[in-house]
Amino acid sequence: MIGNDIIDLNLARKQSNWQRQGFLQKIFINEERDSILNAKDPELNVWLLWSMKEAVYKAVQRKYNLERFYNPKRFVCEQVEINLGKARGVVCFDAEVFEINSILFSDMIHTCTTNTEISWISENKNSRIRLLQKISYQRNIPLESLNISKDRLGIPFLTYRGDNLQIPFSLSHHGDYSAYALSLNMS
Amino acid sequence: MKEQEILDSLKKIVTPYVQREEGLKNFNEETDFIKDLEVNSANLVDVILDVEDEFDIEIDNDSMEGMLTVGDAKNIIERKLASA
Repeated sequence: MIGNDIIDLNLARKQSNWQRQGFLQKIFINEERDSILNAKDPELNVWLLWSMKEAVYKAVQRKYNLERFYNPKRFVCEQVEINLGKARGVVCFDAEVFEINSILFSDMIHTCTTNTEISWISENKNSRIRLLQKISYQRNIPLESLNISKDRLGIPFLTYRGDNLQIPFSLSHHGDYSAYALSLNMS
Repeated sequence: MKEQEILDSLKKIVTPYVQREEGLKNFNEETDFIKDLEVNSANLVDVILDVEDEFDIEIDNDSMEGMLTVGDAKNIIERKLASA
């Protein structure tokens, strides 16, 4: 199942002080903290690992229809490799392993699960309409008949004239950026 | 500590992280940190750390997992204070 997360690094810097006493301890296990603090750019690693956890949280919530919960340490990032503006790694949730890919820019990180077929990053808040346009084009469905609703758990789903299209997707926005991730083959 | 004191104190703690001010007008136990107040998920950590400092308690992972609303937070605080 699909999940994505986008982080506006300029906004993250304003909103959070990751060096605050106890902050890293609440969201990262020891091994993650060690890898962050030993990294060349600890701040980038904080937000990269955080986006990995968030993306996989969305994926598992959708996959298992889970009630919302807040337990960042239940998602453990491993095998994180950063290379030339990209990153890859895995996130373990309970006994399950999810692969992720990230794109790193100087002021933004976008992470999505590797089953994503199509993703789009936007420098403003228009990813919702971009996603609808993409589905409309791919499925040859009139744009005005498409809609995004949320279920009881807050998980979004796509509808065509009110019927659930069962297309897995994920939307994220933060600060100046938004993004979608989409899998048309239903995985 | 009285319930209302805990709620007042929670409101004060969460206010700096709120992105949807209207949510504060009707601040009660049902208020959802993310849905109603649009606290971003990374700032929920700050809320938890501030609560720990304010009440001199420690909020473990299992308690944190279910801390979605003001009422959830209040219950956790009461439980921790009772066992302190």
